[in-house]
This record gives sequence, C-alpha cells and structure tokens, in this order.
Amino acid sequence: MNSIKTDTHSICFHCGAETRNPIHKEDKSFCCNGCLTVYNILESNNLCQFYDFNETPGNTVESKNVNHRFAFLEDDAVLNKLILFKQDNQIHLSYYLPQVHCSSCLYLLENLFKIQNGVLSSKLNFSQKELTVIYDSTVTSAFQIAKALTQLGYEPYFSLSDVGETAPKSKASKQRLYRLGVAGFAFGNIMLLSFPEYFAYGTDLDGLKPYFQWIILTLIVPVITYCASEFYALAWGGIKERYLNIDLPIVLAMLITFFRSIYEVFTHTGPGYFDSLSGIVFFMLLGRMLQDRTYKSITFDRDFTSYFPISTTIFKQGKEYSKQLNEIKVNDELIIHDREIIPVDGLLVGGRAVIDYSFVTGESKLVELDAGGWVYAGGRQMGSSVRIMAQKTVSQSYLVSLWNKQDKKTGTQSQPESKYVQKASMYFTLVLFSIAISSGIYWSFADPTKLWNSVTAVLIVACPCALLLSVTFTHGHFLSLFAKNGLYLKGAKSMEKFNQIKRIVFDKTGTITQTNEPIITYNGSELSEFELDAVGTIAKESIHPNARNLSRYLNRVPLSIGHVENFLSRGISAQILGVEILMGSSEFVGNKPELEKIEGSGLWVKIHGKVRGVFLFKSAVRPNLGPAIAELSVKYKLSMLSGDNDTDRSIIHNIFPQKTDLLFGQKPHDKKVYVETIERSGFPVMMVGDGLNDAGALMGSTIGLAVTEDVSYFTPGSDAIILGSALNKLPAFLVLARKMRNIIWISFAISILYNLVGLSFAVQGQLNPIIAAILMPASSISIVLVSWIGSLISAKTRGLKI
Amino acid sequence: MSVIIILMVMSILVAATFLGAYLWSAKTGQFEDPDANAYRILHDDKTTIKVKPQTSIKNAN
Repeated sequence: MNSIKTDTHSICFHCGAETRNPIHKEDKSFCCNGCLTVYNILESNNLCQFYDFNETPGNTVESKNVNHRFAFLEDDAVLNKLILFKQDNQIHLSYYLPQVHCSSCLYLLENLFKIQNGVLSSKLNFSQKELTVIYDSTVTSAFQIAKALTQLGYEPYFSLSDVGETAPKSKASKQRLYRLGVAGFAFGNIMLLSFPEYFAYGTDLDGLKPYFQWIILTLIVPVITYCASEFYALAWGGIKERYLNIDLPIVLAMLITFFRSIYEVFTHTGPGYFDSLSGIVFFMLLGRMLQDRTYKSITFDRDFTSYFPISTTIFKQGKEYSKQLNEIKVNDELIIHDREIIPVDGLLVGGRAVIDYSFVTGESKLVELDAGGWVYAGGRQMGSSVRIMAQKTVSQSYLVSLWNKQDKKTGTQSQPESKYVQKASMYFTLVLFSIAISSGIYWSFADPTKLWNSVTAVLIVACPCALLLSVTFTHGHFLSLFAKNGLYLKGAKSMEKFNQIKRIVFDKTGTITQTNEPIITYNGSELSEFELDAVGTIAKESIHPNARNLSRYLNRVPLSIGHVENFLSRGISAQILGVEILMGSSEFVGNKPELEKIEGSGLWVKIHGKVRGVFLFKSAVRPNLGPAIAELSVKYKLSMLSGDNDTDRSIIHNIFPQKTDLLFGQKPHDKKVYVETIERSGFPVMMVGDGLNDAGALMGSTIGLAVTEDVSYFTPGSDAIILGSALNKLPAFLVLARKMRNIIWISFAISILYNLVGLSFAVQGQLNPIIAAILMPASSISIVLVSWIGSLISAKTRGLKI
Repeated sequence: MSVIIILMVMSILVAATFLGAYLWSAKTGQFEDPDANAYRILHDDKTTIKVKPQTSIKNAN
C-alpha cells in the first residue's frame, strides 16, 4: 500500500488549520485563499490587533456561492420581519453568528464599519452570539452585509423560526434582577437595624429600638410582597395542578414568620424575625438566579422550522424570485441548488436529482431520480440545481408531519423542579407538621402560654429554604460544568434521569463515526505531483460526498478543467490540460467485476486510459471513543444500531465489547421499536443519536442525547445535546450525575442539621431572634459552599474542565 | 445618642440611592452580557468614530 506524498505541515496563520500545501505571504502561511483574503482585509484596514488577542482566532472560510443563500434578504416582506428598528434610512438588524467564539471575534465584528461601507456601527452580544448592525440603507443592504460577514468567516444563520413569532425576550430575568436587588438592600439594612436587638441591653440604644422597628417594618413590606412574589406564583401553580412543589412549604414558612413577627412587634412582646425572613428571600432568589443563568446560555428547543431555510427560489415566467417557505403553494416551481434542502414534497421536473436523505432516514446512500420522480422535504440535493414542482406545502409534507408528531414531547414545563425536590419537600412537610403538632400538644398540657410560640417557631425555623438552596445551587453548578465540557442539558430533571439508566444505545453514522472525515488510503501505482493535482481538481467537481472529502484531504491547487461529465453515482470524467481522467466506481473505470469486492467504498482513478489505483474510504471512528465505550460497558449494557449495511462491522467490533448488540440496516421505525421494547421490559435507556432518523428512538428513551458538531445547528428533540468532540467524556458525565445527587443529599443533611439545632430551641419555646438570625445565613452559606466546592472536586477528579 | 436615628435615616437614603442605581443599570441591560463588556475594554480603537475604509471587501478580492 503506497501512501500519498505529503508536504511539510504548517498551521494556517488565520484559522489554525493544519495545511499540507500552505499559501505563503511574507512570513505567514495560510491554508486557503479564503483565510488569506480575510487577512488582507484586516491588514489593509489596520485591524491586525485581531490576531493579538488570541491564537489563530479566525474561522475557516469555505468558498461557497452565497448569493442565493441570502436572497431572501432582498425581499422586503421578509426583511421587515427581521428588522428591529427603522428610521429614515437607518436600519437596525440582528445577525445570529454561531461562529463567534473569542474576544478577537468581538473586536473584528465591532469594527465592521471600517470594512463595509454603509455600516454605521455594530454591537455584539457575545453570550447570545448576536450582532446588531446599524446601517444606512442607501449605501448598503442587509444582503450585502450578510455577504461581507460570510466572507470574513462569520456566516449568519437564519432559520424559519426567525420570521415566525419571536420568542419572549428576557423580561422575566430582568424582573428577578430587580427583586434580587431590592431583597439584598432590605436584607442588609434590616440586619444593620437589628443590631440594637442583638447587642444593646439596657444601654441608651434601648430607646431607639421602636424607631428602628418602624424602619424595619417599611423595609420588609417590599420584600414580602414584591420580592417573594415568584414563590407565591409557583406555590399557587402547584396547588392548582395538585402537586407538592417546594415553594408551598416555603411560602407557608415565610408567611408564618411574617405574621408572628408583626404580632410580636405590635404587642411589644418581641422584635420579630424580619432579619431572617429577608435573608431567606435574598438567598433563595440568588439560588434561583444562578440556576436560570446557566439555563439561559443554552437554548435548543427547536422544531422543524429551525431545520429549513427561510426561503427558496421560485421559477416563474422565466425569472427567478425568492419566496418564503410558508408561502410555497402547490404547483410552484422551485429551484433547488447544490447542497440546499428540499423544502416540500414534490415532483422532479428538471435536472438530475441526487438526494442525501441520511439525516432524515439514516441511509447514507444517495438517492438518484430522473424527471417525474418524487422527492421528499428534508432531503439535501447534492449536485447541480434541479427544478421541483411542489405538490404539498411545507407543513403538509410527509416527513415534516412525522417530525411534528415526534417533536411533541409531553409538556414538562409545569414541573420545573426535580423529583428529589418534590420527594424531599413532601417528607419535609410531613415531618415538620408532625413536629409542630406534637410540640403543640405537649405544650398545651405543660404550659399553654408557650403553645403558639413553639408551634410557630417550629414552622419558622424548619424552613425548607435550605433545601431549595442546596438543589438550585448544586444544579446550577453542575449544569454549567457540563456545558463547559460540551454537554448541554434541557434542565435539572434530565440530569437526574442519568442516574436511572441501565442501557445505552448508540447510533452509528455521525454518532460513533465522524461523517465528514473518513480515513482515506490509496492502493495503486504512485501518482506524480501533477497527477495528484489533477485528481484533486476532478474530485472537487464531483458530486459524490467521498470525492469532495478526497479533494479536501488532498488540498491541491486546482488546475483548469474542461469537458466535465458527471455520471451521477457511477463516476465523473474530465479533461485536465489535455489529459483524460476518469474517477468513479470500479465498473466505471472499466475494471472486471471481480475487482469490485473490496472493503469500504472506493474511488478508482484512470489517467490517460490506464487504471492507476483506488482511493479507499473508511468511516473514521471518533478519536478516544474506544476507551470511553470500554468504561461504559462495565456498568451498562450497550447496543449499536445503524441504518447502513454492515460493511463497517469489523471496525465496530473493535470498539464495542463482545456482549454488545450490533444491529445494521435499521430504519428509523426499527430503532424506535428497539428502544421502546427495552424500556417496556424495565430497563431505562439512554439513546445517543444525531439525525432525524433517530428522533423516534430519542423520544422513546428515558434520556435522549443528540450528538452535534455545532450547538447552533438543528438537532432532533432530545433531553440533552452533546458535542461530538465531547462524546468520549460520557462516562465522566454519568459519574458526575451520580456525584451531583450525592452532593445534594449531603447539603440536605447539613440543612437538616441546622434545622435540628434550631428546632431544639423552637420546641422549648426558646427561639431567640438572634439564634434564628444566625442560623439562617449560616446554613445558607454553608450549603452554597458545600455545593460549589463539591462540584469543583467532582469535576477535577474526572479530569473535566472547570 | 438620638442622633443615631438621623444617621440611620441618612444611611438608608444613601443605600436607597445605590439601590436605585442598581435597578437602573439592570433596566438598561448592563447585566445582559458580561463577557462582551470584559473583552471590549481591551480594544484600542474607538468604535463609534467612523473611519473611511481604505480597502472595501470588493477591492480585496
């Protein structure tokens, strides 16, 4: 087996990609013209500070034809839905740029006005990756700005859902910020004003107590009404839907504290517990806010509208127009370009269709059609443009209606809190009431004057607030830990489900294997430099995905090419500088049929009439996945399902242990049934898949884990998203989920300990406000510390990033 | 000693001013995007001054 001759490796100065044939400029090397162009632009505009902030901060720019991609931005109807603000000629528009990843990106994008005429200013919201551009519509347009951004390496991503209803923006979180501020203000000042209570016995300060108490009373009003309002809302929601969430006992404790304190103050029997009350509210709001912040950074609730583009090209009376997807009518003639997604079911009326349905059905084999053939929405056209006559609208199309059915996950929004919390609050409330009642019964016989004192004190001290704190803080920490390491969960509930599973089912293509980067080897007579250039050139012209992979791998400078003839799934022929080249299947280059039997799909090459050799493609398994799977197989039973046939069986056997179920040729329905069968027999399943063909299985399993290369792109409905590069950390994630549960138990225990100490005073009717004021913050802070440090330690011991 | 009451009231008023400032900054969205603000101070150039571009994207190709 001969290997391809390789040049010296260099790293592209702009994007950091390893490149075999670098383009040089001055003392820098670049991987491609795209990167070099961006460098030139930056240099000529004095923006080279871009490279100072980070190492190789650029994004690889693939030269694509973007004119039709953003054509919808020229359509005023669409544009008006996207525009944020318009006045005279000034337009504000937001672009979502998923490639933003570092401070250099921020620098470049906010200096866009230097590069693109007409842009007045631009501001990047880094955490949301949204660039808000203000431009002069007489000088430039949204379309031109989109083109400019793409050329710089930041192709904007628009989806159908952007022109649909806009999601309610972060009003809720702003309200919480206000509440937190007011609660903090009140808490600090009330504590301060309570000092005479704590320390001044019989001194001059005694006379001031009543005045301070008035101030405290005014401060507590906003706390108990405004700041605590979200607890009331949640508790009321729980009552309406008849389940016990933790907010119910919290509200109870808060109200009892408040009223008893009011009573004490107005009957001059005591100072009340306003300091503890405001402290509790403050800490709980803090915990909730932390939890929400971590949730906010990951939003991946998507339906099919995120998969489709916004518009497509319509061919009418000899001209091309752009039309929004939801306005496509039956019998409209659509033009689908190379690599575009077919938006509706329809008939092929022009061109040759070669469709990739792999994301949708799981079969990686391309489907060829001639005029008159039926195409389905969701497939991707590979090759030259085709014309399709729509026979359905988008939402009526077969696959879309399937997805809609599958994507409807049962509404779990009414139960945001986790199972632990529900269980714990149930037990807690029961125990609490029994202690209160028994203490009341005791005192009614022993000393009736102490009755209300002790009962209310019990209800005050044993506030489950600490429980809420331990859960919210721990969840918050672990969620952000997971996110930093490439696993994005829909919510805390998902994390708990991790601890239930007994079986793990993997999809093959795209999950275990990396679809974009096959292992390429060459079998045949050695090729000269020119011949390699020629092979690279013809491979680029081919529509076959493996040929494209080959051209990317070879990365040769393209030569001038002529007489190109694409024979669809068989091969491609062309003339390069007078030499005839054929590339394709074994039969295509004229081999005898026996030569066909080689493992893996291959591309044969015939130069100048002589068959030279074959390029073999093997799906590359993700690096480091082997040890991860070995570790998983110890604790869980594994299975692997694939939509392809079993040509890759030997590779898969190498990774998975003997007792794994390996099933090939699985249609989407088969996968779903397989998972459901296991679930029904009592073994919770975690399904790991990536395509829409896994959607049914993902929904049917206890935990559905969708694998993606880029968090911003569409994934089928799942409980969590994991980056492809993070898949090898799956064992660590599972261990961490267990540790998280342990940490929550530990902090529960701590809070119960504090409660016991407090209760011991409360049942005796001896609950001093000072003691309450010390206990509450102390328990809160210790719980916060335990959950934070616990999460850090757990992550470190498994080698995860903090 | 009763002057402490006046001091207390004053201090609470001062604290209330800070609370007001916090609420205003939350309202104007200063807590929305902590990362970007941290990066922005590293930039040398002023981003609001419009400078004539020397090479537009068209020319660079």
